[in-house]
Amino acid sequence: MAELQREELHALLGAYALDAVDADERDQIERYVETDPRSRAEVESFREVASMLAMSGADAPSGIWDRIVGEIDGEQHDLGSSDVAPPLLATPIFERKQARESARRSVGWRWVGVAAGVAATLIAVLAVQVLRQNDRIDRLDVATSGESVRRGAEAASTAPGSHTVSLTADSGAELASIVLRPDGTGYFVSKGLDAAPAGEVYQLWALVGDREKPEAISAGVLGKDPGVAGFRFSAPVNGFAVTRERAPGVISSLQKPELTGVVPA
Amino acid sequence: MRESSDAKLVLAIARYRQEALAEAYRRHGGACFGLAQRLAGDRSFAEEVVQEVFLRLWNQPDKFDPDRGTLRSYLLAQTHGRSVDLVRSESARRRREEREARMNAESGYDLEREVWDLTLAEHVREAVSKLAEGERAAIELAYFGGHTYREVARILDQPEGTIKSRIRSGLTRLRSELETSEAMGRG
Repeated sequence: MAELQREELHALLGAYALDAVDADERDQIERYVETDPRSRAEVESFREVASMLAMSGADAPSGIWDRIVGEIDGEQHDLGSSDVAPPLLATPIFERKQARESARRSVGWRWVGVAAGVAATLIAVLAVQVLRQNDRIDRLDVATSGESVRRGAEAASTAPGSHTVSLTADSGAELASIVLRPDGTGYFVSKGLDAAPAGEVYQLWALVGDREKPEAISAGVLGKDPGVAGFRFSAPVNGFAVTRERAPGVISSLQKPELTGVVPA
Repeated sequence: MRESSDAKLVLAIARYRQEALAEAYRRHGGACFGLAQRLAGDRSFAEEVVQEVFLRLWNQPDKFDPDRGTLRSYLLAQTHGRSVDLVRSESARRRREEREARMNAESGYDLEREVWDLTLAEHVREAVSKLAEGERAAIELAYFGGHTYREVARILDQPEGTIKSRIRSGLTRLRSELETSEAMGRG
């Protein structure tokens, strides 16, 4: 099919929003709207309108939900109890069969540059693929605040086998640290990190995999003014990063890390 | 979880909170199922599509961008796109033709009857009622019938350019009416 002209593409936006174009036209329009924000916004608004036409007061059939749950292998995995574990760690986390079986999936975003002042391996990272929890870290969660979390962090800092990772800003200032216990419990401890601006929160990321080209996984949202937060992990972590994100946090990010730190090899 | 915004809900889904997916399903599963069933006329087909759409949300929550629209809009667009793909396949086409033959014999399409949401139905009905008949028929056949604009042109015996224009002008008019009634962005 011949290349459609801009006017023709524009005329097809309504039909495209309703999936009412042929496959070859769809490909051309998709390319066009990705380069034209106004057209993209128009398509999105048309889809919003269409979704209102499709609204229904009917309940979702429960049988489908049962099948969805079956598919995602919704078996609850109790993280187990620990006298130092943060309270939210008792929250069931659902491990996914597919995650274990399939290759890791990139969520398609990159950090462009990681803050200087940390080990050379991290400095060299110019594009860090960020992944969701997967087979290497399948039990990572964060719990913020709470006296038990604070006590856990204090106990961890002096426990045998624990080690501490400094999280530093570009300036080299240590504004937070991570305490890692050998049992897979970790704690984020702020050391004067400023509160995030209105509408933003801090988010913690774990760097895993190849030290030369680590992958980052969201470890949790730390909140606007983090103090102490606890989390657990079940695979080797090479480092950590903290970004500032729009509240309530993001699945993927393009923000440059505010803080970074390397776990010694 | 019931009070969570779309963004919070999807963030929780990304963190493997199954209860967040359950809440998304509670909010939007019915509409997705209704749309898929409307397009396919087949319950098992609709179940398959809805299952696929929500599993995709579970597996790839990053595909949803809250800056680009509501979760409802995203899920229904996914449902519609997947349904149309399946409906346009040859085997499904045969089923649809049989279904259409039955429906035409019974009642035919009625866009207004597709709108059931109790709180917003009145706004949507009113907006739909302000469409020109040609706009209404074109949108109806394209969206709920799963037809391409070329097929719609043939069905309505109109030039393709006319149908493209009617779909676009109709959607623009609906958007304007729904924005005026402040129905857009709700639900």
